[in-house]
Amino acid sequence: MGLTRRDFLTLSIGAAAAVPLTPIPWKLLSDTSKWSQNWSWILRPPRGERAVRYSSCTLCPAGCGIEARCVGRNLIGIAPVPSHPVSRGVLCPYAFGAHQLPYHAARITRPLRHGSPASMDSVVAEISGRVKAGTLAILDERPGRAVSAAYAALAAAHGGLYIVADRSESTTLQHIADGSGRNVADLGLALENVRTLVSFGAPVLESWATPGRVLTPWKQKQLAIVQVEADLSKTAALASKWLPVRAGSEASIASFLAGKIGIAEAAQATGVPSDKLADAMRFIHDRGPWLAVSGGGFAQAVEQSIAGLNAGSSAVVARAASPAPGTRLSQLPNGSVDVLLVDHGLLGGSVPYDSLRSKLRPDGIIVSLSPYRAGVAALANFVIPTPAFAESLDEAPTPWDAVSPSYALAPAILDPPAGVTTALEFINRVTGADAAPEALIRAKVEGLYTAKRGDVFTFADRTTKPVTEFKSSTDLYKAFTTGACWIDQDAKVVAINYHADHSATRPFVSEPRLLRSGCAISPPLFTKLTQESRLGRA
Amino acid sequence: MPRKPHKYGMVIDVDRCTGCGACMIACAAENNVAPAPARATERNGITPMRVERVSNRAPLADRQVRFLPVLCMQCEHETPCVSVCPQQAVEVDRESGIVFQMPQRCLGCRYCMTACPYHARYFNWWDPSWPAGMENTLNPGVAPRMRGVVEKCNFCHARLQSAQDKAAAAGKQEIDPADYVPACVEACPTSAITFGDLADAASEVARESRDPGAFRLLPKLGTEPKVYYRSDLAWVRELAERGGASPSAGPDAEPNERKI
Repeated sequence: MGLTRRDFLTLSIGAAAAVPLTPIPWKLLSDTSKWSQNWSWILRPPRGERAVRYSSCTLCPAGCGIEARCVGRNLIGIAPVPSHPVSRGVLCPYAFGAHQLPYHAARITRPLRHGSPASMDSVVAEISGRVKAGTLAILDERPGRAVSAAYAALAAAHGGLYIVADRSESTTLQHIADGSGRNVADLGLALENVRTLVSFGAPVLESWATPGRVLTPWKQKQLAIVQVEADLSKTAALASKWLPVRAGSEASIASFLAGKIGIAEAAQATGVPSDKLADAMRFIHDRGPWLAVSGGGFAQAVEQSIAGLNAGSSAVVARAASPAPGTRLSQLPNGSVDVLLVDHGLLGGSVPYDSLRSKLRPDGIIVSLSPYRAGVAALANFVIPTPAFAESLDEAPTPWDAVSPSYALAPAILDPPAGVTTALEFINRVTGADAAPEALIRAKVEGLYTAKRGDVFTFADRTTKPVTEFKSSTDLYKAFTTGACWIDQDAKVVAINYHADHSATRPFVSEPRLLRSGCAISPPLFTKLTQESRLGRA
Repeated sequence: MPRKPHKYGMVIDVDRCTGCGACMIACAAENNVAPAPARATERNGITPMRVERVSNRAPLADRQVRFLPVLCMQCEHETPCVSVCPQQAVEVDRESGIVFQMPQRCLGCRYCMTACPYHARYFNWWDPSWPAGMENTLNPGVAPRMRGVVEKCNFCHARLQSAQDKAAAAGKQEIDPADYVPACVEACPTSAITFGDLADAASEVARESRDPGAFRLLPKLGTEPKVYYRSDLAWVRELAERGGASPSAGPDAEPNERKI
């Protein structure tokens, strides 16, 4: 039987129609898809021995305890330390991405002179010459460390000034300090004595202060939030009461709470209905002790009114005096500095460039000591690369809001890249000093040991024992470098007898709200919040 | 003796979630999810844990907002992604109740993404890419996925395996529950997420799942999710049941709100 043209066509068409019903095309499709994903370019995670190192997060002043998960010499993850006396087992989102910060795209490992790479020796020579010839100021964005005291001493030795930045987070404390004749570094907030936090735009549920001190009582319903804010921020959304005032009318709520104006006047000024104001007032007073805090950025009179609400409150207390209080940046006269050295910290700093530039003489220079070319460092005359997160021995002193003095260390876990130098080592070189960071820290620990006060919480076994049980300061230092936090919960504190001083006319410079988290950069994984979801836009 | 079957699940207290995103960051770090490529958006990015902002859409002065972490619901019944996968790349582990996605088998057809009523599956539109040096931060317990495959939350399965290895090394059949905590649970600063074995009636997660305020997303579909939520607010529960419809639709839309 011969094959006719009709048979051939029938067979061909039939075969073509039947092929999709067989596994052949699907297998080919599957294999092709896999072969096209040959994956040779997909990164393979480095292998190595797994280990856990305990440390402290030094990205912000809170100094939360962290468990650093390592593989070989790499850091692959961060977790909180439960029961930590300062952070209370809480970390903010920054900490969970902190181990990726050393590889941030904005990282620098060579000095920059007007944005161009320069050799360290030439930069040191040029800045040294300027330090000798002009007025020096050292701005410390992370005050309270042993290194900070060295900055103060070095600046004083050169007839210069040790400067600390104004923080919008602590605006209310700053005004209370001004009104009570104290230094803001010596004040704290006894949040444990408070049942309600009346917040004037402060992001108190968004990594404000030491997050664990606010979030822990909040989740246990021991601390309620009354948010006075025009916008429906995250904190406003979660507050027990949100007073959606007209922007700029916050002072009327402060006056109403202080009993200076009536409910009708407050309602008219703020646009919040009278019944809502009455309800909030009743809520605040029925719950008991309360504390008013500002998010910063208001006119000075408004800030003073908010601070004045805390007159007679037991929630604002004075701690032991700070060893190196420093001059506030806002108090530094404009056009008074020739060389401004700025230790930005690990997130590139939060001080606006313009507020620094205005302090310089016309030919003055800003030298940014930062791991990143971001924020002020992107515009500074010189940028000196410093170690990033976990790349050098660092300190976590008492947080700005704390009542009890505390201290912890963050040991170096990663090797810093070639070319970086710690801020103090660089300042040593340009000033001809020889203060060694580790020696200063050891001296600080020696001081804690000698004072024989307070307890030490060890992260690994979560036990607490008095300082007196350590055999030597070396033992205590070793405990710090393997994960421990010293805290003196019996330290004497006194309530502040504060009366608002409305005659004060000192200008107050607040950070813009966008910079409230105190950083010029964020971990690369924050793109999950800002780009791949709507969360960062809330 | 075989291990007794577990039913791992979680209860998320919506009233405690502050929308900080720590769970999203911790999840991405643990599971080697790369930072977003320049072209990535909320529609094509990879967020196995994603916190959504939802509201009652009342006029601004009375508006209430909550944050709803959404992840794979680990459906117990007629798991939609399992039944549609032509490659058997999705499997329910009967020992743990966890729904697994196996990228090696995935064809990239994205049928499972269409079938998932919770939009909890993500397609790798690009090869993962980390800035130079950041490969040093990758978790060797989790293989990075490649372009062309789907991925999703698997309750940090690598941590379960580590806990099982630890138990086996100690000669035990069962893991210590403290050894198996997913990254998002560990990261939550307000302890809004409770994780554990729903099959153990005495466990905290099982107890919380029976709370009068507990609910699940889209219960009418009968997929029996193993992720529960809890809220005191009736509109949140109603929203979860209706799937994105506003209970008191007002003229003001929440700008950053997304349908669930």
